[in-house]
Amino acid sequence: MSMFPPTSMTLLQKLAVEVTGGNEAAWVRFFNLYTPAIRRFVEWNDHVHDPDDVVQEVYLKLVEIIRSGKYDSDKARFRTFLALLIRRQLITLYRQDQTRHVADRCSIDDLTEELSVPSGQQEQVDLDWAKAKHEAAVEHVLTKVAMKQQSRDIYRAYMIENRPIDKISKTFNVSTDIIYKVKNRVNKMIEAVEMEYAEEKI
Amino acid sequence: MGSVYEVEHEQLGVHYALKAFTLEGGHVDVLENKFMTEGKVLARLRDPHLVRVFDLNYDEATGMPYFVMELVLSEDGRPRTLLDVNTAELDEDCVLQWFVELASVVDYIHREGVVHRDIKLGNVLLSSDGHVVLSDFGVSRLFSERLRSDVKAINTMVSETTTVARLVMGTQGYMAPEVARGKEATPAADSYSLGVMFVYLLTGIWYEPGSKVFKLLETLEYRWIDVLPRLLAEDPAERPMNLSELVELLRSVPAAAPEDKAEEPESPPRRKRRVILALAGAAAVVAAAVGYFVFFSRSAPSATDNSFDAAFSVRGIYEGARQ
Repeated sequence: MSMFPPTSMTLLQKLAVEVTGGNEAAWVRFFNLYTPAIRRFVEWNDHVHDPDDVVQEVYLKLVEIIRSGKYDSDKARFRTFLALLIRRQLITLYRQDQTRHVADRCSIDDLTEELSVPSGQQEQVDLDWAKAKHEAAVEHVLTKVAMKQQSRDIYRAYMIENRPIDKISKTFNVSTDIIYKVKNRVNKMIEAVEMEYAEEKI
Repeated sequence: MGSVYEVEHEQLGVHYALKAFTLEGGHVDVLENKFMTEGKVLARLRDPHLVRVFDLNYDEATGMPYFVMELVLSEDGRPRTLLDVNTAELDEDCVLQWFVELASVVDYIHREGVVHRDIKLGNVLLSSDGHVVLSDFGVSRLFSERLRSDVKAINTMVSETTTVARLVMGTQGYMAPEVARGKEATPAADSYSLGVMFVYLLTGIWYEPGSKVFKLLETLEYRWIDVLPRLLAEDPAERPMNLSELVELLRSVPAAAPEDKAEEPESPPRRKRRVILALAGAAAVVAAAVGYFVFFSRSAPSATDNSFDAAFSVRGIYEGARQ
């Protein structure tokens, strides 16, 4: 079962407008929502290159494909397409490292054909995206959402560092009940951010 | 249209911000008049969360106008805006305080007959004690006949002339939908921009119509969910006319049930409300994304070029912040 709702072309259309000199806000929003998840994907699959460089390469290629009008939403949902594009860019980078060729000789036509998704891969890609999305949402909540510093620290200690609850209780001088409440509250925030990712009209 | 300098009054030894008119093409007379209007309007407005203007004059050397205003520096002694805030250090109490301050000052300027038209993170300065100061009225619009008459203003909107196509003023992403469609900005448009700004400060997400970000607001401590969606109503007529009512609503009713609130962990006592500022390049990326203008102009005098007035000497040029 898919972890993501089917994506529409709405935001891609806006991006296409952007690359032709239009909607900057759509691009900023897309960038803010997707960059952390794309970065996670890159980090899982590549330990050689600077992830920020790879993310940038992915965006450049994405804009190029959108500009060309070759992305076919009937062939692949956007997130699946994006996952394969990341993988393709990593392969290109490794090939470049080996051959010292600078240019990617693959044409946009070849690339979009290559990025068509074999049906068997769909579920794994969905699972990967769900994991990347969750991790990105956790990071987002702990670094972007306004809350008390102590709540952030308690959540990190309990849910991320897996420290024993009695020790956390002692360290922060709070009851275990409060720790559970912080956990539940921050989890609700994370769910809400994940929902924001999921609802994004791509 | 303007470059901002830190200047020192030769006799008083006091530092001020000096905004100098700079030529950037276009209709020079119109732009100059607009610049003068900004100075005159700010000089007439009085609020602790507005930059105060003390003097408006012409530079002896260039003949260009300038105005002298309050210098607002953050606690690290540099000019900082809300764009420079590290959101990982923000708590809701701090954001609430900023909302109260900005809503009250926006309410005030509306009552005085001014629509700011460019409320955004980059136009809100942080003072050394963590308060916010609304700045940059360069594209503001005066809808009070009395004020317009007082300052002999021409409004900045090209659309108010009859011959030129309507020019949309403001910043994309913060702009009310009706303004983006080319309608005239009313106070309700400022309310919308305020809503966009505070959704971002609270959640780290840029609001866009249709976004599910309100789900996240529901998890917060104060009743933002009763306030921000109203500011962000698609129909300007549905946005609240009186922002101070929203402030009261936020202050009076906590979102969490009383028993939950009582058990919320206490923050360690704060020596002082600190606004932690990120100096990293992240802010620059966001700034570029929202169309943040760099205030350094090639036509502006250098920091050592003391030509504005015999009374002032230039102490610095702000390249990344404006007032």
